[in-house]
Amino acid sequence: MEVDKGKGEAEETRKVAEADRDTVTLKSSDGKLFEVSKEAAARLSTVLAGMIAGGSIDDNGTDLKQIGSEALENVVDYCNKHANSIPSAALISSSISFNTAPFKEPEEWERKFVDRLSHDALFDLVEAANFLGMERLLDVTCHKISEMMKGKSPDQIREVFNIKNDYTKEELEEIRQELAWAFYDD
Amino acid sequence: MSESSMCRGRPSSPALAAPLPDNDDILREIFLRLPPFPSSLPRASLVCKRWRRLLSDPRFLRRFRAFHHRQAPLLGFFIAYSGGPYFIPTLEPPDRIPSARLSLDAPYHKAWTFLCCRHGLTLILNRTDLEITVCDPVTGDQRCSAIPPGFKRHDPRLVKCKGALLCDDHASRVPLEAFKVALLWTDGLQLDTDLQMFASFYNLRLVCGVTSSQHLSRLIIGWASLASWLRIRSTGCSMVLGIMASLG
Repeated sequence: MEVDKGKGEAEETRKVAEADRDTVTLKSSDGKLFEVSKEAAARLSTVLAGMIAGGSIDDNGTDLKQIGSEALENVVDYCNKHANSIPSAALISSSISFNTAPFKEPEEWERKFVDRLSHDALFDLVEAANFLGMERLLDVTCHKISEMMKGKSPDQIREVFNIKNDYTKEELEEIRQELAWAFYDD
Repeated sequence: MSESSMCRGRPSSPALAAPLPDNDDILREIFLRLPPFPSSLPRASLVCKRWRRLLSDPRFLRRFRAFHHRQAPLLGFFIAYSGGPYFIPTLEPPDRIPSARLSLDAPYHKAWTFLCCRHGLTLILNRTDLEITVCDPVTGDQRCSAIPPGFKRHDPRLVKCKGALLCDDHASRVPLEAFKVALLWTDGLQLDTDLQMFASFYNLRLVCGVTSSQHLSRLIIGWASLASWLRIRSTGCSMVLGIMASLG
């Protein structure tokens, strides 16, 4: 009984030590490990917050099999940068009522953060943000992608995103006539 | 999300652009952040059928409206014209909506007075039939309601009238019945010494539904003319409400 009690205490101590750590370790699909601030991870990702609260964070690296190392590195970088920046009131309110909140412009550092990414890295990051329930990062990355369409014709948008045109000529003409005013400058 | 959907193929050559994530939820989030200009969604709809399906979904359009609430651009304005409210666009192409698309034609032989435009709806006084008409210029949908009994005792040609549309729900597109109409009018010329002023508050949900109509005393006229109420535009409705509140 004494031994069991001792074991129980040791387990308890280990749990407390884990809870006291201020970082969590995440493992990408290709096995790379990344350390991230626990506070920022819990604040910025609903999925990680759930895992931290539920005790399913693995000390040796929590497996995130759906996220590649490049995207995870960007996620961690974003979380750490976020932890170091003072969140504005606009940012906080945006994360509270994301679906209906009026659009909030990305902050200067967030803009720089996504501007330096290649298209491929940006698209991987948007998927990672969506998977991890990171509303603000999803907001910032989706905003960047929507900016890539601004002022472009349908042809130019297809080119930017490598999309196949599956309309017939007749279908296109019909829609263009219906909304002729929206294509006056084409 | 399945694992396969997360692994997009890398472009085989650097010249080929990277494809967007194959995920409707993410595409919706991207479309939601398109600028709220008139040409944004039509142009994106023409890219491919999948995009058109997502963009024309009424649930998406409701979200888009709510997301850009209070950031919608001014498309233009209406001017009072004998043939009905005439739309003057203010944006540049491709967001310039033609006048003919939103201008409203008064029915033949009906005298329409344009009162105001709010929440994307126009409020019209039909002096021929003594009705007020709320009209959605985009859909052409209209609701008519008889004007208050007090109005009818006076020569409608002399009546000076101001009106405003009110709605509790500002974020989403709501049915015309949800709107209330505030009217403020005099029964004659402004210089008339016996001038009387009236206010009505309508609920469009009720046919001919005057929920409150008051004959205001000359004391209030004195106060109102001080405020040059005939020139009041945007504050007209709050003034009517203020008067209503003071009358209990």
